[in-house]
Amino acid sequence: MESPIEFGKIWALTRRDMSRWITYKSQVLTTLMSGSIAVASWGINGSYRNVQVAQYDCSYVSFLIVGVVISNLILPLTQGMQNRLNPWTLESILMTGPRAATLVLGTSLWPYALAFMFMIPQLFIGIYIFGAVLNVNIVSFVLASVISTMIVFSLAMIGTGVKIVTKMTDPFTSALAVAASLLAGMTYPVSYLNNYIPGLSTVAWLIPQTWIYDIMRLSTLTDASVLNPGVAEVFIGALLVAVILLPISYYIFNISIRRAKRDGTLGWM
Amino acid sequence: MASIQRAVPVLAERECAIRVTDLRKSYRTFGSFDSRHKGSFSAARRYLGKLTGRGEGRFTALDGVNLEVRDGEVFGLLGPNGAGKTSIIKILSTLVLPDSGTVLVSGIDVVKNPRAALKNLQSVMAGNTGLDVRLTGRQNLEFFADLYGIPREPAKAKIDELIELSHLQGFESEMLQKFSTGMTRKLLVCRALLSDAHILLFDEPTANLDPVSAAEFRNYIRNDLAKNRKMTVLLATHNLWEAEQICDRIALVRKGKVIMTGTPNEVRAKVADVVNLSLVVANLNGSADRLVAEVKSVDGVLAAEIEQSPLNGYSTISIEGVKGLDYNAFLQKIISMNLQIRSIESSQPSLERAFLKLNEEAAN
Repeated sequence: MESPIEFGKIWALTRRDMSRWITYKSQVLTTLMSGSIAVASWGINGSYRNVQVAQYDCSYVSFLIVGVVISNLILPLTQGMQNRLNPWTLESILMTGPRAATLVLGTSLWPYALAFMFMIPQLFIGIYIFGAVLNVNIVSFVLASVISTMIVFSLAMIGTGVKIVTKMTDPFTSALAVAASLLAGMTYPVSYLNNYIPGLSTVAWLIPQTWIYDIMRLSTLTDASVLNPGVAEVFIGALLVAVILLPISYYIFNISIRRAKRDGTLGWM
Repeated sequence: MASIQRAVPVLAERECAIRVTDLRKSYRTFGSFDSRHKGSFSAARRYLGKLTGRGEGRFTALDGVNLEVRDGEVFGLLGPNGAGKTSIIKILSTLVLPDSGTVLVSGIDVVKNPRAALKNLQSVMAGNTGLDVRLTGRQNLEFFADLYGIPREPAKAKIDELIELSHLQGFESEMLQKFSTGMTRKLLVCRALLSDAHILLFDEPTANLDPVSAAEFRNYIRNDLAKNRKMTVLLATHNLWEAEQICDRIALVRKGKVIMTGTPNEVRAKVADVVNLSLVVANLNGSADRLVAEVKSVDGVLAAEIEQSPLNGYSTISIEGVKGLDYNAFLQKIISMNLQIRSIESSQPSLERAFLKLNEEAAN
């Protein structure tokens, strides 16, 4: 039986993106600078407020820096895959007969790896300039990273699938980005939303990004062990979101390709 | 013998590279917005219809196409823009799904088993390179070799071989943005050949190429790919001259239907309602008028005229006759006049004329 994951092909797509990326020297510099400036600007914001976040038992600046870094990790992936799947490239690549998972993983891996690499200078700025304090539980962090990756890959796959059909815009990613920026809690704990509309924080948990922010913060700010029943409950919740999203996104991606083939619009964008 | 589109395939499975049976495809069309509807309720309704998919029309691109491409032949799909050629190529390439009908590539159904079909067939589209301009020619090929799952060492050897076949030596380490259109087109062929596919599809193979590059590319298809590598080539073109130069057989496509299939000669012969002959004779010695009169007296001859060369004393008599003209009758008349026949040439109507006539017949 053939492996459902074609590692060689995933590596080929990743290496192609990497080789191309290093030819754009100014892009390397601007990506690094824009991410660092975002962290710096939020760092100033966090230092100015100088409050404690009870939920994670940390300073607001630590809470904010981790939020911004995670946001910088999510955004390139959800948007990066769509940008890389040009229709003319998609047709040629599909002619080599890859599986959908190969295509998605291969196209997403480099922007994700890049975002991970850029996390380091961003965290460096957060810790050494703004005094953010990290309290990392390695096991929880690895687990949180895996679950977050699954969720983000799923969102990327749905967004790309939708864009293959709708062409110019991807209403799914746009709507989700708006909802996330409003409710997912990048800059505040979601429980704070209830001060405006009672029960709004419950709605926030319907947004997958909310789970990512929460498990990543738990694992990096509070030394939370997954053996702790309270923490495990949150991680299981996040895992459930990932497990539900992954097959749905795979299905949506496949039917989108099929729909575009039926409409004869696979090569359009 | 040329054949009008057949419903029943006749080639044996082993000699048939591509078999298309009763292929149908229609596309959704969206209502256009013109200035008359601007700002009106009608415009809003049309826009809503576009979003919801209601009120769309359908455009029939393929209307029951039957085709058979033999193993090892160069087959041309000829037709004007919008005839359905690209739809056929894209369906064969598994990039578009048909509404109905069967498409077999080396006996494999492209709809039911696209991945297996793609092991036998690859395509090269004119407007679609799929190559990365920021990578070198070799890096692009290495990338696709990885996607085809070819191990590193065999891939390297194969890339070297293909670069040589395509006469791209010395350019493979250049970034693709430095490649000319002709070189890029050849690199696309290299990419397709990496897969070991033995059937190659081209959509407008020489589009956007200058005359020299186009001639070189035609030669490449005919000799390097078809003759030397024994590949089956299916090309879609609206360039009749090109089809005549490189295709063993052609299919004329019009409004989603194949209106005729055959060799270029068979297609021309199908529409030849007149025959044109040109004879060069010696020793005419002032009997030109008599010769014209004798030839014209033969049943079926429509016109005859003589042109004498003052240099060598030879005369050329051009004869136009009905299809099925009895050549013996007027040849005997010429011989009986003690004239020496130096050469005889029969000319057929051009493929362009044949195409236009068949197109007109199909329209009626």
